[in-house]
Amino acid sequence: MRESYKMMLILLIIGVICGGLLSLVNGVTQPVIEARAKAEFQEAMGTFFPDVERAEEEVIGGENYYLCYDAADQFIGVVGNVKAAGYGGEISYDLAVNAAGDIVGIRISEHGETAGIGDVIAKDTFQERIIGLNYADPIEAGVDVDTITGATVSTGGMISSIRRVMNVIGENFL
Amino acid sequence: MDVNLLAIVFVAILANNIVLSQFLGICPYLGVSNRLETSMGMGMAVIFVMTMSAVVTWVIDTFLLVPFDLIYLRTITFILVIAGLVQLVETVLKKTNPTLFRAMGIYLPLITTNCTILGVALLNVQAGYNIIQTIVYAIATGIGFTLALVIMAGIRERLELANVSSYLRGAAVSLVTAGILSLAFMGFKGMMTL
Amino acid sequence: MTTLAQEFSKGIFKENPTFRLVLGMCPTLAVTLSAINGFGMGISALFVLVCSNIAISALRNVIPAKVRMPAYILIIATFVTIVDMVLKAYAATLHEALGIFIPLIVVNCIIMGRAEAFARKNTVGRSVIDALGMGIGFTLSLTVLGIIREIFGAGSIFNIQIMGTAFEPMGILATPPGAFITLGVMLGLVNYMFKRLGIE
Repeated sequence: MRESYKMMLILLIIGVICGGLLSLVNGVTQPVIEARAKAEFQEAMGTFFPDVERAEEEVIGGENYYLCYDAADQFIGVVGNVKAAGYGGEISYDLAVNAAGDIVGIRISEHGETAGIGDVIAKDTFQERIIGLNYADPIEAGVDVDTITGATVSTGGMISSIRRVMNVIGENFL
Repeated sequence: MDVNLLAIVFVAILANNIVLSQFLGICPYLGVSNRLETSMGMGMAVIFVMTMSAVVTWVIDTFLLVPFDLIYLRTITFILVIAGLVQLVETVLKKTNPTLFRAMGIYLPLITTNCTILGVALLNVQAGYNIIQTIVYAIATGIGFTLALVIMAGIRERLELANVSSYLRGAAVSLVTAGILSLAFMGFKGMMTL
Repeated sequence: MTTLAQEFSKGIFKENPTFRLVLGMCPTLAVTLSAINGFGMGISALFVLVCSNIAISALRNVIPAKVRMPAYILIIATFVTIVDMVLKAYAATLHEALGIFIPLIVVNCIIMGRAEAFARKNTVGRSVIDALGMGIGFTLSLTVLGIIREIFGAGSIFNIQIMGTAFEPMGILATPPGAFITLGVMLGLVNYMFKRLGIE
């Protein structure tokens, strides 16, 4: 019996040391991780709206929208942190729309599309077709935006998702 | 997060097969897939343990780690829980159901270091599934693993009779075969997404 | 008694974990989409391997044989979590690319295998050498596979475009089937090379 107590004790000691070590490292890295996430987000906002001074967060349908204001507290646009259905799962992306309802930027943050095929959604060839479209435009595959041959599911999914997001933005913020 | 259960099943078994497109559980995949019978036994053991561990880790994650802000302890907790669980299943099975134990007992120790089990537990909490989705996802993933294993075993039983270059025999030709299988499974992508 | 140099080099050549022992296949297939990812994965595993080998060989007379498995798992999981947190804080892109395969280093057979087969029977010094050899062998294999898949699959090497604009990338090498096929062919080539060199 003493033997098994000793074993338990040793395991316990190792466990405590490991746990302590981890919480120590976590204490060091956690602030760095948070600071990085914040800096990245602000940088992303800045690429869309260089004049952004502060942003207000709104959640609609489980997705985040950030209303951007400049130094004079003038509304300059919205950045939606939204999702589309792709070929290899969900595509997470940021869509930036200015106060006039024009798409000024798009940035894919996460996708599982096939490299060399569906990942065109993250490239300029596709994104150029999106930027400049207005809320009042139809934004429909084959009407005013073309899908990319060979990547119809990925690009089509993006286009219909953009239409949906534009409706949300148009109805709520513009 | 509301995800269609049917979509979870389809994606986990075919479109995003755990072995052929997510690369988890390659070691048992290459190791146990030379006989049809053994691959069935292994597959069953994996489905069983995977479901149990996914549920237990989900409960621990939802009610302990997340509320107490201890997410960084996920890996260490999950692997310990899985190791303990496998031990428990082995002991219980030995006492209560010797037939079942004989069928999958020898595979149980192998399962602790099978990365599919830990992988599914982690992917599952990362995806933010609820308890029902968790169970469905774990069972479907296990079935997907078994499917890949059984197909591979069927091919390898025939491959043994083929005249393969001596340099490619064993793991090398199995990997190339798995590559072709994986290509076939890629065809399911895009049919349904989560 | 094997010399220290032999102890070191066995992990790189004769007992190379990837190409000779065919261990740790999951990360090998999953992260070798590019050279830098393969290298990052290799280094992460190397770090965990060295640390856990040190800890386990140092504690080899303290840990009772009966509970050595849970003790090893605890030790390995701790170092893996440290790698996870550090990468997330200081190399976020790599962390994202390696994804779930960082926590899965815990169940990498190479690490548990070296703990069980080597570190628990040898001194700290020899265990470090063993871990360095195995870890470097693993890193090299992953980097080589990553280079091959990146050159042909994307026309670049360590993210630097080298093939020129006329090059049409072979998309398949960047997909899951490409991973299996590249590794299979490489295994065959290594077997051929070893036979030719007369090493068995």
